[in-house]
Amino acid sequence: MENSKTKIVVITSGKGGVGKTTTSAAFGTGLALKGYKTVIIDFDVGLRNLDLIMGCERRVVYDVINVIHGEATLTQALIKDKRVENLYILPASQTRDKDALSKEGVEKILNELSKDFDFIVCDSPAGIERGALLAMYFADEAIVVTNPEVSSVRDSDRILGVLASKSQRAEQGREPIKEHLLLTRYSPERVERGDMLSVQDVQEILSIPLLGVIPESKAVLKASNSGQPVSLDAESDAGQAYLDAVARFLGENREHRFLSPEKRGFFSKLFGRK
Amino acid sequence: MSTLASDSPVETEHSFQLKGSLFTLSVLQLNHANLSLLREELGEKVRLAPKFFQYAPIVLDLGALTHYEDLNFEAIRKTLTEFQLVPVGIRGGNKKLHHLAQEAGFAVMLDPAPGHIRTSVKKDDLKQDIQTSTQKPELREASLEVGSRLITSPIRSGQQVYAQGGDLIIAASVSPGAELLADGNIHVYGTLRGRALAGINGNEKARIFCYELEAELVSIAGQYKVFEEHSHALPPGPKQLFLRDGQLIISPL
Repeated sequence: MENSKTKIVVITSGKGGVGKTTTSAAFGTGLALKGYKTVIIDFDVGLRNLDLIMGCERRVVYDVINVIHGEATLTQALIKDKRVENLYILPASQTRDKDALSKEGVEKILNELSKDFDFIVCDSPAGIERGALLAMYFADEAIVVTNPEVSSVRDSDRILGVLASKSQRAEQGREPIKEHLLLTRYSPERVERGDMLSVQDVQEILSIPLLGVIPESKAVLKASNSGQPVSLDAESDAGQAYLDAVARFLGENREHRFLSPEKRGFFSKLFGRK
Repeated sequence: MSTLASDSPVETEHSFQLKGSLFTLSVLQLNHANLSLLREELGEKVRLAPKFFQYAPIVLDLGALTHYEDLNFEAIRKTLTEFQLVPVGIRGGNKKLHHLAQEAGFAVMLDPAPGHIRTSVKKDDLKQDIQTSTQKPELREASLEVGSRLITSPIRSGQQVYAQGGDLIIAASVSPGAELLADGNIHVYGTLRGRALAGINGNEKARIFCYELEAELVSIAGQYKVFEEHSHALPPGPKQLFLRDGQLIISPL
């Protein structure tokens, strides 16, 4: 991208259902909370979810396909978040399909957004086909969302290979996309029992820097059902973990939390808090 | 025969796709340019075994004719075709012969031997003409020579690397679902998961070296072994694999 200040971050995984949209919403919100003008773009044309997770599904008038086809301007399509300052959403189309996306169209939108925004978060669909490839093509950094489970790790590994070879940076021989690992749905109890891969196991195979570990949490379901990004639920473990991850992304040195099984005291066992 | 295919491109609305592939071809070395003698000898061969050639694609080796300035490639092609040989290209010879051959519709095959000067298409030409094709180098490499290849980043699932005419050295780990191929040896300074095929052109002296062996499949000159379970039976640590009397041996380093 022309503007070196604006950073384009793709949230990708390969595998479906691991937490990309949850992460895009939480991460984008976290960046905006830190004062950066942020836009989150939904690249899942035809199966859009970002608007639901962000709670703005009733405010979608125009979408990214309308903008690409010149049927609407960016300003008309962008939805401003009601809760957080500096946060905008560009929804995907629900009626069209992925073929409506084009590389030139995406490039045009990103160039225009780069003029005003500090961060552009691209919520990628699952898979390694057109939608996913276009979401990552112009990225500067990538957050690879992975569940501590073998097929997710295998798919994330595949996606890392694609990131290294099919991005604009790779094709132009520039600095490669900076890769970050975000482990989601992590359960320290199950890791201890040997039922789940540990952070180390995943890192051994993927060999990319760990951005954060998001614990399995009831707060995530609660948040998506209420249309609120989980990072706004600052009391929850998942919310805090996402805010930690954002801080690390911005350069802060924060220790990883929620990695060991909770030592539940007598009272928490009694009242069943989580 | 082994094939090396790269990933398919993003756009699917073009009428063709360019892919890289690998084929083993027979070579017919011409010792002189006497076509009538050539015809006689080819005829003899076909008389003894009528289906001997069977439209086999062949490469003409002009190594013995480097002092020739001129050859009638059209006539050579006609002669070969008469006996059901399909000449697809030439190798060896000199620049002048290459030029004449190309004019007659022959491809000039690139000699994979390291150190050989490429006389035809250079890598830059390829880049220019095939912008969106799949022939772009997929991995960041330390050197781009044909021959041994050195790669310092991990090989990811779904990626395939081939060191043509040399050794393949990976100074990182190889993920499950990745594939390494080499005419020579394969060295993995990391954990080898995925598949490793060394000596794929029949080099039985090729070896595979790795820091940790967790591969799905290994092969040397076609002799292969599949590891159905994780190699629990083997102690951890650096290993080398080689052929001894046609058997694939795994030995700790």
